[in-house]
Amino acid sequence: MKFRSLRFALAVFTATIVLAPHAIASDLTDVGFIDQAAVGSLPAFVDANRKLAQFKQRLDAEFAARMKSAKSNSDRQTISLEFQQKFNDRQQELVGPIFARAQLAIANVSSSKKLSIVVDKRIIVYGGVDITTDVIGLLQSNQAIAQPSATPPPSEIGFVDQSAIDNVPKIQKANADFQKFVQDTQKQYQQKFAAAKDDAAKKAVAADYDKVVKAKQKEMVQPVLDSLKTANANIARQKNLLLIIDRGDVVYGGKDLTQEVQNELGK
Amino acid sequence: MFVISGCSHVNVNAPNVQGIGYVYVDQVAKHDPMYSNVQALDESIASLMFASQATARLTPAQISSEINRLGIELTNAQSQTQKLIATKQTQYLSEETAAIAQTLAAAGVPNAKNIANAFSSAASGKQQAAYAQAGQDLNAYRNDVVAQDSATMKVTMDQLRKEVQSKLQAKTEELSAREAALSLRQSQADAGARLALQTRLSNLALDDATRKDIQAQLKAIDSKENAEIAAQHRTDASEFASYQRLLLAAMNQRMTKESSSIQQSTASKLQARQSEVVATLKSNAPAALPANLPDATKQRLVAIQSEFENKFNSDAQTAMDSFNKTKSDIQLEYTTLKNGGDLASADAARQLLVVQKQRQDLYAKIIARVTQAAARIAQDRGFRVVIADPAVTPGGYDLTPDVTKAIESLHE
Repeated sequence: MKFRSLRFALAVFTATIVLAPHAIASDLTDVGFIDQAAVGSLPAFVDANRKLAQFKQRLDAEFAARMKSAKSNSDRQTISLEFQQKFNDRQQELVGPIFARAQLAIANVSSSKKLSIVVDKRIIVYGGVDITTDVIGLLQSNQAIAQPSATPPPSEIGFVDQSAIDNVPKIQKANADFQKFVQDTQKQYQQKFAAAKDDAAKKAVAADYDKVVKAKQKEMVQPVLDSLKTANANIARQKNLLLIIDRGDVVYGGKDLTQEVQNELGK
Repeated sequence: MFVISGCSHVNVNAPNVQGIGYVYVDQVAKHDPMYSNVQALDESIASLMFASQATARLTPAQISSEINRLGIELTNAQSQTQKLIATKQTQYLSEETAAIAQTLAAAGVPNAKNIANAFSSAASGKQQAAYAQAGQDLNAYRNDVVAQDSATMKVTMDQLRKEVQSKLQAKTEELSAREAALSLRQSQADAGARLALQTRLSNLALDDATRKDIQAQLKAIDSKENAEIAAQHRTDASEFASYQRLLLAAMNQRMTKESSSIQQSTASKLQARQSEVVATLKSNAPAALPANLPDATKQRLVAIQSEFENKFNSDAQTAMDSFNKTKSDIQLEYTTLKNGGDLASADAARQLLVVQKQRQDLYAKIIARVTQAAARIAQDRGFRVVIADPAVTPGGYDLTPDVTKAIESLHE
């Protein structure tokens, strides 16, 4: 493992390490990754999901019948919420226990390997510690999985929940304004496209549309994204973090900066 | 092979790197030699997207009005043709009677004009009666054949519709399963956070502000999940609409094909019956002439009849050809109006799916190459981990320029 040879190298250059407190060998923790798709295809998950899908099929039929009798939007909303709750309860019942066991297995393996963060395999280009086999092995064993004794060590990698950030009013507004622009522009260009006489003219219309939309995106959304990046970077620096990734890619550990970034953007 | 050249030396152990690298894969992908193909596919996708969303040139009301106009045009053409044929019939009957009278007079037959009138009237009356009967028989036969073929057509169309409904139902189920899977993933992703918040809420010693804050966080999780499900639902609705368009277009094409085949069969049957009727009419004996006419006069009268019959048939055929041409044009316009716009946009939607898949496959190849190059460089430099497309990078080492160079070397 690259980490091991790195430790030897660091032992040789102790003088340098003293000048670089963040790089003290014992402070370095590894980044782990897991193939979530492989875990999701385990028979226990597949079986639970199949049962859930069957339940949903029945629920959909009931839902459609109930919606027919709805007289107002308020009725429809109430029915929707009721059925959503039924689905969530069933999901919790069928998948909840398996999922909780999977989380425990990931935490257990991560702790034993001293991993500070575990991410999805998709974002790893090189290195990291693959814990997929260990987690699957633990999940498939009949043994009870104990809670790990220690919490994950601090990581150099933090994360933000992009979907929560998207709900910050100024980001929401920028996105909504841009979507409106796209819809309006699309209508205009559909007319131009219909009026274009040949394929070359049609391609030119489509290319022009693409150019206009991209330029507008740069104008309307980019400044907000830049301010988001600045806010993220400021907070990350304060916390001595090196990288920030999206929460959707994090499976275990890492430092969640979402609330702080939301606060910073809301100022 | 990648050429890892011109790489600047990096201290991977530096405090702001700590063995962590990152690469913006999409940025590097733009330098791949195959990226121009991706751009070309993107242009096609943009063009096809417009074409697939294009609606027919006319609104349904306009189409309906146009179809009515075509119906009126067809009736007018039919009526004009009938009038033209009737006029020609009257004209040739009059000319034929005059020619017969002249021939009879030349042969010394007394009351030649009256005999000619009677002969022509009888011939005409007999012919008209035969035509009327043949017309009635032909119409009755046509109605039978059309009714039978319409029934066949209905069964075929019902079968096609059932097939489409069944496929749409399967698609609906597939999309429902996808939404269920999303919902499941969300619950899985948020279960930890939700459980932690619920556990905190169950602590009786919580102050009001903290309790409210936790409740707000739980609500935020619910809202986020709902928003994601709604987004997925919108995507699914769009996918369903595209799929539905494709199926309907395919159904229309098959219906057109089946309908054309049945219509062809109907037309052949009617044509065969019509030929039979014409042959029967032709075999009908002409009206009787005075028995004591000289042979030369009889031959001359037969020649006159044949001459005018040929003239009339030729003119009638010309009129019918003209009418059939008009009818065919009207039918073509009718079919175009009914199906043309929809078929064009559905065809574009079908092509769009194919091109999108091509783009996806090609881009995956490029990304694999970029990742491979990045991994080689990372290994060469001694990084412990390299992450793709991080959101923000206050530290770590950006391998994007070096990977870009390696990818650009593929052009050489």
